[in-house]
Amino acid sequence: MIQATRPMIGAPISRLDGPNKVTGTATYAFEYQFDDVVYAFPVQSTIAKGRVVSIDATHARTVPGFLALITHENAPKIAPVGLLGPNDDMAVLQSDRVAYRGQFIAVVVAETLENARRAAELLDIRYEEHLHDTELRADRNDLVKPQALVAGMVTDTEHGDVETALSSAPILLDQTYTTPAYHHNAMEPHATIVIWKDESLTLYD
Amino acid sequence: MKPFRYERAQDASSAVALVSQSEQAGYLAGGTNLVDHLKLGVSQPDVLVDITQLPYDRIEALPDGGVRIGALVRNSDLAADMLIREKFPFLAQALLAGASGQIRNQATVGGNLLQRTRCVYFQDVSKPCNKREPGSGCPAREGYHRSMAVLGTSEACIATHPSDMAVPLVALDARVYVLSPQGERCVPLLDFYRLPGTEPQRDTVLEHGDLITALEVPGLPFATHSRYRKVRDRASYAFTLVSLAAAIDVDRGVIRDSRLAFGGLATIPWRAHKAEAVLRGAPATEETFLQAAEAELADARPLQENAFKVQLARNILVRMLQDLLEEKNS
Repeated sequence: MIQATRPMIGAPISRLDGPNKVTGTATYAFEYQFDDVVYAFPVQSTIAKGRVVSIDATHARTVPGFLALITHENAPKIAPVGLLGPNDDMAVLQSDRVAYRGQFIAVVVAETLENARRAAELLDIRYEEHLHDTELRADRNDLVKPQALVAGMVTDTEHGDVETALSSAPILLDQTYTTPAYHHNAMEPHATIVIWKDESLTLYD
Repeated sequence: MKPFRYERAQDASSAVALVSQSEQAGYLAGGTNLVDHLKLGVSQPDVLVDITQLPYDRIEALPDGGVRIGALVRNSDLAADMLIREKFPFLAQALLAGASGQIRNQATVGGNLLQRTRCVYFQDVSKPCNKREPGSGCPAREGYHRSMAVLGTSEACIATHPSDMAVPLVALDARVYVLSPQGERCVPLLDFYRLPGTEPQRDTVLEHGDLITALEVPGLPFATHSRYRKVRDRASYAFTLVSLAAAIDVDRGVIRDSRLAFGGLATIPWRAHKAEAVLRGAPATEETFLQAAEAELADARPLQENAFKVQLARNILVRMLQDLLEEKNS
């Protein structure tokens, strides 16, 4: 986070959150302290494609502190969100459809994180599993290019004029360079605190 | 994570007694592998007995030039020990090639020997795995098996043993001291690991309740000239694809003796006896090294994705012996 009030190039600029981060006192969303918090633990699909046929919580409900099970059957419906792109793969708990492995298919709420996690493990989930196709290979000719990506970003981008640059370059090198896949891994655990008090909703995220 | 009871052992015999009482009980030392398994549901003990207070944290020289290592010595401390660095440099190198600084500070020698495979199917309780759930099947042969073993495999299991430390230790003929309700016994490390066969759930010959108390490495003068090389997808914080621990004793161009063991190649830390037999008494040449590699790898049973390991193992063996030879001559 940088606040700019005058030209910054060449100027020493301190990060506002720098001292907190290097001294270990910066707070993750999860670390804000509140009384009477309950914990929601996600349940993720173990199949890559298909539908959720049933979720039996008989055993999960016996875990001390169990409060609620939220699934596509009882979750509030949300309006379509354009940001998610042209299909509903990213819509949470809106249908029984499983579009990818690891998709959130239920949430268990309990009085402690440990009990919520334990109850989530004890759910008996039945799927109707469909064949999945996840291999992207260069030699396939049946792949489709989506019209747009998440947030409406385009699939292909181009800068400059390659043909002109190549034809006028004094030296040409014809090489193939590859880079390994890079994954962005946030240090912060995936966690959000929501305080719903009277008419106001406060989100720590 | 299934709830479990936590106990802290005051002495070794009470620890053994506590764990022996229940089939589902287990020991907790560094916890660097076990705690992951608790979270993943791979391990579901009813009691965990914390043994970190037991007096097994010393490294001592033995009269034969060897060393005795307490089971609770931390990986970092063993790697930094001057005795180990001078007498068995490939053991120190193997330790430092494993995991991260934080994990090595926490992990113990006994726990390192007993760490379980990193096979993706073993670690995913939503998938079948003969090692985790005997008889449930093995998806690795048909599925992802790039990192899996090409030696010592069975129809039931092709998972590799992940330890770096154990690789030079099998090369060194280390011995494992084990305490059970019946008393203490000594198991040669070469007999300690089991090939998966039809019982891949049993990684070692240990019985339930057995507690590793120490390791002994016998003296081996030519191990002062040894090396561990680990080939992996990233330069750090990755498990091995193929690694090799090698020590060689050459006198006027003739190989008197050698010690070779592979990691990442087999279902257990793999002592290369066949390669050693080819080398013994033979001229120290590239041709001999190649013959040794061929002899060891003749039994390899690669699959489509891990076939590269055979060639990689051959290259590593030849190149490392050449490097050791050059260092010796220079």
